[in-house]
Amino acid sequence: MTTHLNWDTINDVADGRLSPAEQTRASEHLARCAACSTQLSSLRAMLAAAGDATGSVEPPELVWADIARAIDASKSVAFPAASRREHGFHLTRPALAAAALVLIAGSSAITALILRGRGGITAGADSTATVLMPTSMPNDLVVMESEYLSTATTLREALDKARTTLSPSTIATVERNLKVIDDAIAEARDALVLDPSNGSLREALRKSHQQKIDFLRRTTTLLGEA
Amino acid sequence: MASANPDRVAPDERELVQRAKRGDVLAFEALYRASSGRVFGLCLRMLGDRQRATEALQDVFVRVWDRLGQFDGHASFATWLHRVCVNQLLEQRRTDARREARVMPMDLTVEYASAGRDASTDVVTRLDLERALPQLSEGARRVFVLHDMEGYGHAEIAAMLGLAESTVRVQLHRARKQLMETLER
Repeated sequence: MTTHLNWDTINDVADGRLSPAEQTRASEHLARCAACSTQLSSLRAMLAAAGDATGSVEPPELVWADIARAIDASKSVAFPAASRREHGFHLTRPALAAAALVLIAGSSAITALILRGRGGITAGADSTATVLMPTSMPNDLVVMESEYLSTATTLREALDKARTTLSPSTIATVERNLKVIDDAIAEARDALVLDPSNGSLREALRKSHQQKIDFLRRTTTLLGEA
Repeated sequence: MASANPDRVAPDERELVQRAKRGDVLAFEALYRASSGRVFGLCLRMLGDRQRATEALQDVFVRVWDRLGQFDGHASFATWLHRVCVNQLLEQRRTDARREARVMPMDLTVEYASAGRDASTDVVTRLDLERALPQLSEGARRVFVLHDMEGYGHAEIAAMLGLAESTVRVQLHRARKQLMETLER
């Protein structure tokens, strides 16, 4: 009865991982067994090809543009100097939108995700795509926005992936509800920029964030149960 | 004769890295242009899917931009970049529970066909191998790419993946067997 080297041993021979005694026994077998010798040769040929197969592959041209946008978004934009000398915040909404937006990167992965422009259910004011919180806002508000962004983005991704299972009328209903909540978030946020110490406004923003999260979570759960 | 302070980073590359560290995006773009092909190839081999590889490439370079301050020039930029890429790919795998193995899409077949053929007359060509890779399970492909294509040792891979070295060995052997069976079809 002919015995052969098992696959693990043939691999160990190819990788040079046998002890001297084991290598000697394996070599003696290979010298008289064409089947094992052929298998080893085939494995070595594949490994040689693998060693050569580490070449470059040209990426899509548009990738750099996305990277550049993500880098640009991670840089802070300073308020105009004159505004900082004023008492409190008296910026109008157009001035805020035009000159003082800061994207809170959080992590580079989240930034890249935001600017990748994935399709799916879009939420009205797109409050889960960007965080419109000036750098001079109190840190706790900045942190709250960042945490909300992280959770909402993850949930929205899950919802986007389930889009194909929804009817057009359901999608329209979901989008309509999201817009209502997003508009409330935008209103609370804009008001807070003008009056960041207002406790009622802070609570309103926090509740709106929670409403968005709850809605996304409930919808995602229902789709999973369907 | 070795110098006291061996220049491990090419002068041009060193200047580009220094400029990029100071926020020069054009310098960073030059570094990207010089190295993105290699990184994209690695992402393709590890992920087996063009769309995911494109996203991973973007994530890698955004992370590299964020962490340029950590590059000390002791190794070449390409070596450091390669390590960042591998870590990023492995980290992505750990956090994305929805990944699933895919058969290579047709556009990837065309991609590899246009990448040039290996002149070897061996039965298994580089092209054959790269076409077969995406058909492996993700775990098998990862171990094979790291060991047999990127040159990491069993111990290194075990540390990266949080596995015992013996487990890495078994997974590697299985991956090779699957590949050879695929190539023989």
